[in-house]
Amino acid sequence: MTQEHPPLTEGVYYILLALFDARHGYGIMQLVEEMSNGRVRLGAGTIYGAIKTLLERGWIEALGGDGRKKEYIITDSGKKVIEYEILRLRELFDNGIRITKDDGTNG
Amino acid sequence: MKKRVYRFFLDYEQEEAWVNNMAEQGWHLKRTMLGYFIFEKGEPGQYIYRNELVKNKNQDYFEFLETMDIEFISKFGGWAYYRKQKSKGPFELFSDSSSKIQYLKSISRLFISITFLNLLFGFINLNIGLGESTESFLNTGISLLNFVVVMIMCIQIYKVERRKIGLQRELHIFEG
Repeated sequence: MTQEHPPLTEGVYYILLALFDARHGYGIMQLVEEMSNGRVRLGAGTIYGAIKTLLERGWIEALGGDGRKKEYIITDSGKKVIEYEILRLRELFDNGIRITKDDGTNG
Repeated sequence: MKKRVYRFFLDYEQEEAWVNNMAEQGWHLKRTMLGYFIFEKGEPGQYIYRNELVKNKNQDYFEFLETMDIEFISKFGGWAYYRKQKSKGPFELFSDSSSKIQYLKSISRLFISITFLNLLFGFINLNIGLGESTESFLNTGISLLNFVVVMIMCIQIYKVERRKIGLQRELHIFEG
């Protein structure tokens, strides 16, 4: 894909949202499951890999605390990414609603 | 009560399924060594087990898993076993296609390097084996073993690649 802001995976989108407050891995997993009413259950290996990649990109940063209790929080550039993603999702949503409503088969 | 079982698996997913089957019957894995498993008697179906190739994983990763209610059980030859209590919900290490594909790639890389090493040593041993020396008989035998390993690994690589291609195809229409 050659977009300037390629779509995020569902997991990364929710992990970034979860990190608007400082959280450790377990906190991310719990909140994401809660937000999605149990639909999105992130695997521990998946979260670990995503955290590493997001740290490298500078979208999140690690706060103090030793290994087990290490917490992460979203950075300003991470927030920018989320803003773009929300705009993209709104476009998808609006177009979806507009076209299926005009379809006429619903009414 | 303990149970010791010798059993050799070529397919790591089949091995994991067998370990989970044992757990269903109340035999919980405590230690693994190449084809040797020690189980401990407990409550049937209490745990879900997962194995993982952890060649390049550090202590940080294991500590991370621990905070997620995942108990580290045993590690041998680059393969680790974990378990999680069934009452704490489903247990998968990787939840989306892209991280599953990443993981399969690391397995594939390991299998391919094992294959090439055995191919190389197979030819070296064969070369010595066909030489003039009287002790060379042994080398011919070892080279045969090398080639058997190559064949086995090729089948495993094929299986892993097929899983990978299946996931990649899904990524064309689904996100995770």
